Amino acid sequence: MNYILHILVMLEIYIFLALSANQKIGLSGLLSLAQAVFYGVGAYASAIVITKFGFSYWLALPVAISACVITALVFSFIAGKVRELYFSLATLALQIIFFSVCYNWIPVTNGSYGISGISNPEIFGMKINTPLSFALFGGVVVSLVIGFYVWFLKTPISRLIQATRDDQIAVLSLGKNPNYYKRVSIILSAIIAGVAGSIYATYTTYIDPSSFTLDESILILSIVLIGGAGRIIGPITGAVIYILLPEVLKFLQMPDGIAANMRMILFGLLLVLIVRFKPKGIFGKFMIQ
Amino acid sequence: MSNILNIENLNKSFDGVSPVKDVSFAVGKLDIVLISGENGAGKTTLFNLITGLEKPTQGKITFNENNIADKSALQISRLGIIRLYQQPRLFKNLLVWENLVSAAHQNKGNSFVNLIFKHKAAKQEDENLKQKAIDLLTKFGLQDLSNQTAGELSYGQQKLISFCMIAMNGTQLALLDEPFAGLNPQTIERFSKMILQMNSEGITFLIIEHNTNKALEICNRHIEMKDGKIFNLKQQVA
Repeated sequence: MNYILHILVMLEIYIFLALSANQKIGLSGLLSLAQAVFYGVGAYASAIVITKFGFSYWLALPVAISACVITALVFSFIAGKVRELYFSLATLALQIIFFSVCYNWIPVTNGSYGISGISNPEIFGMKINTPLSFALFGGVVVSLVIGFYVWFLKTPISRLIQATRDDQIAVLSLGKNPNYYKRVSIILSAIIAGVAGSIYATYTTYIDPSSFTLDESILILSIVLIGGAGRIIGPITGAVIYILLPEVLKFLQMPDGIAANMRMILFGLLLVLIVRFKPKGIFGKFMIQ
Repeated sequence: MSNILNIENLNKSFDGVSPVKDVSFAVGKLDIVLISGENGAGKTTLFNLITGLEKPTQGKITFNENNIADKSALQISRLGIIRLYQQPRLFKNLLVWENLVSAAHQNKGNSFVNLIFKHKAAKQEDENLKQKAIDLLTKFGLQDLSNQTAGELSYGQQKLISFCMIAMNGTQLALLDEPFAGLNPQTIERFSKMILQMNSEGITFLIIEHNTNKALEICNRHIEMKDGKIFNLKQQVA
């Protein structure tokens, strides 16, 4: 039972990450290779203030969100002006910088040993420390984010964010600043990934740089590509496929050593098939260019 | 009538090439001005200079008594100058009415701050704009397209819809780059009528068009350009 609940918590975290990536790729058309950076900033910011300053989760969460907003703001001022492939290259640089900082800034991040002993969140005096309570807690927060998107996708600003994705010059010639809409998108995406990071850090109680690598960023990107970008249902589907794939393999009674490799092989195969036969993804609204 | 746009001694040169040389002319309020000339005559560069996409090397551009020669493209479009490109630039993954509402200058929901703090007013304004967009489409007989994705429309339909966008945001001066290119005669007739109707509602037009015969049916002035210069300036052709 606990195992199933653990899967559920991981699914919730990946739904978060996929929705955050969808904000950038799906709504803004910005191909980001640094989604794990904001996930990592959220996780590290909460882990550091909880372990070093004894903050509670509810104080650490705003710290994590602020850290992500600041990172996103600095990043969008530098990279927001470049487009398409150049933007992706800038995100790649951000990813590499972030990983090196985590790995080498030992007094703060403890380098490759990571940070352990991160305390669990409490809510009204109850400690959220069992898989069941975490699954419920995660479920509530994920529902809030999904609810947010159901509302947000109907707002004028989200239309303009998508308009900027479709044609930046046309947005400019209508008297609107495309950079503003890109920046809003980058910040929103960072906040959502940061919340996911803070949940991940307090759930596993231990983080190290290996969870926030380029591989992770590419994985999040491919989850969105498979599920389909643009709508809410796409990234959720992608996350479900990624998390449940190894469980399906277990049903086939595959030994663990093979199943782990098999998972990535099958996931890669799926990605190739999707790109070839359904380039918009399973539930995608448009094709990523 | 007073002039809406004044261009004085406008020059633009890139390294050794001068696409626009010493161009001066004025556009009166509610004029429909045709600009014609061979390819490379400097028409498009002139449009780029007026809309701020390129900066003039020399000269003055005044719009409603504001000097706009050194303003950015964003500032210029906010003053009420809109440009439509030869290829219609619609937001192809949005619905037609969403495209039109996105064109509106004033919509509280365009800002994240307003969306949170003035939630009700923003929602109301957005609904009013949607109604305005649908009314506009109905006026031009395009209401059936309102709920279609813009990218799925035909080329001609896309052109008509992108033209409707100029009526959504308080445009005073519209620059049209080859509006009739690639359209069949019926659609050209329809487009001409739309231009005349919007003109009667207060929009001044500057039109680049190679199909001069068709364009002269609606234009009241004709400027011919050659090698970056004004070669022939005819008042009141119509």
